[in-house]
Amino acid sequence: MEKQAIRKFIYDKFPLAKSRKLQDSSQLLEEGVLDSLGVLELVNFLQDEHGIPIDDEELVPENFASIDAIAAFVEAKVEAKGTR
Amino acid sequence: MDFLVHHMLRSSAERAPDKESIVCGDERLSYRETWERVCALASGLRELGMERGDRIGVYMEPSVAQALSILAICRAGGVFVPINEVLFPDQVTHIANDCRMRGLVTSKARLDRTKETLSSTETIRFVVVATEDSLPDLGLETRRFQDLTTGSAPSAFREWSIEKDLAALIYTSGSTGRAKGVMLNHAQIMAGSRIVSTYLEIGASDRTLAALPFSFDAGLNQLMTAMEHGATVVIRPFTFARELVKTLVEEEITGMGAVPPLWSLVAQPSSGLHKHPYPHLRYISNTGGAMPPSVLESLRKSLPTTKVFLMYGLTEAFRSTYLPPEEVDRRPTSMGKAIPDTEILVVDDEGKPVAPGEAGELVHRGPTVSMGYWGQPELTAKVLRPHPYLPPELGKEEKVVYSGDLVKTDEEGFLYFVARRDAMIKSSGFRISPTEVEQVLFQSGRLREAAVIGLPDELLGQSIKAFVVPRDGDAIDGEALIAFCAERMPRHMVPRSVEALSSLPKTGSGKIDYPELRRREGLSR
Repeated sequence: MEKQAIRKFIYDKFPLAKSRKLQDSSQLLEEGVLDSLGVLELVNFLQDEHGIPIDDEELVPENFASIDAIAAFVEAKVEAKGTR
Repeated sequence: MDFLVHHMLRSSAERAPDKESIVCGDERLSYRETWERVCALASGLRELGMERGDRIGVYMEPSVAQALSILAICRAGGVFVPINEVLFPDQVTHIANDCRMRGLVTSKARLDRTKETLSSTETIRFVVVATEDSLPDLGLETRRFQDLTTGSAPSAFREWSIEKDLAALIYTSGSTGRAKGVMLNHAQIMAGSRIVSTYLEIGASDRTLAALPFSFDAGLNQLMTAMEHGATVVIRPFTFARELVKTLVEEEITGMGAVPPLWSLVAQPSSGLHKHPYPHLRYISNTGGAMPPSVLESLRKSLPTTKVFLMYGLTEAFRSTYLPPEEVDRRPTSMGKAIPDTEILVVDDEGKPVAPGEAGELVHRGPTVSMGYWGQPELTAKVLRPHPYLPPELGKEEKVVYSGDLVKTDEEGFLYFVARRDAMIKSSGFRISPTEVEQVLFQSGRLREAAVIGLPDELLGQSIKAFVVPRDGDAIDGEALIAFCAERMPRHMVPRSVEALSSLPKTGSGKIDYPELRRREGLSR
């Protein structure tokens, strides 16, 4: 899954990210672009539409802090899946 | 004698100075430290020019600094105006202008939004910023929070206030117009603390998890009850419910309050709630809307030894009713009965009491009745009215709150929510006036008419639907309109769906017929 797809989902679902011209490294949670309900939408998107299994223990803010962080988290998950 | 809000803190600090008072992340303050910092900050605010009765905004994320600011503003003789961190500059500016805010305490994370607000307000003279960084140039007197709280307070400090003085403005919305400030004096806030801590049996050994913001009356009350009893309040900013669950375990929390959407998140399996025992958790409480039965059931399963308090309150009367935990099984949908030292009446349009089973308006009488809305005497007179059936010899001085909530009672006097009397929307625990959302929709410049209503939503209580009439028969891009709103309002105010109509239904007097819009959606009222 490409970083671009994550960026598109966030821009589409959370228009504030787009209008503020946020960078991939911008802090989505701190900036108030994502709230707890918004993050859940993102988690569902990753799990249901992209088949990325997310453990409960991985639901921590660090994994969802920015588009960069989400992409890195997803990449690690995909790699782990591939080596299993 | 304790007659001002911060006196509760002072007494607790005298009783047990080393007891833990406020915790947030790595920060752990004892009562002695809390009192010292509050005193230092109060002196600092006066040095910045704060005068008696000045309104001081507190716009920051949940933190120790936020709690200290609230208490210090009381000590300094001012009025604290807690502003929810999720609000956007447009809403913050409205609040600042409405209350003619004199000073603002904010944080690094909210600095960008604060700058936007400062550029469109004229009354703010000073800003205090909680930040480790160098202070920004805001064009007016700016101080670092840490510098004001670490100094020692001068020994000669004269308090200005009495309990009748305004202590807080809690901004909330109604059925029309923009957010308005509910005025609470020291006595009212302290009465709320005393009453709630009586039925929740709060004592010095309690450790309260503050997940609700202090800009909500119920959240603020958690801070107050802890200060009153020398208990510990644990502030926990969170993204995931599992962070709250972790805090319940690690901090040995004894009580937690939340609104239905938050309880829904906590009840989801991914929160991990069912994985731990909670021997310390005495009670949980719900307010801000009805708890969905499935959520209640799941919470009770995971928390078999914890008492559940279902509460109801409106900011204008602070807190009104609660259902005793032993009644939850018998009447899980009830709002309960009046809180201690409070009388709840259910009256018809003529102010006469209604029979059990009949719907009437909930009227609240007691020591937590607020002083009304800041700067809005006409609106205040509509909500705060004389008691409908006290003997005329008593005069009409005492005011009761007409809640605008239609309720009914069963034969044993337990109350049940029926509906709102007006168009006010409640979503995610927030009160939203349709006007606030409609005004933003109009700012798009594409609409001739707009009206929003609340649709039932399992998670949020209500979600917002907008009906719009485009100008000149233009086509309307609903997604674009929603995106436009999302740039200007916090998420709880943004419509979830948009429907274009050729015209909006009107009443005989030409006003928008909101009930008809609700009927279109298959809602009865």
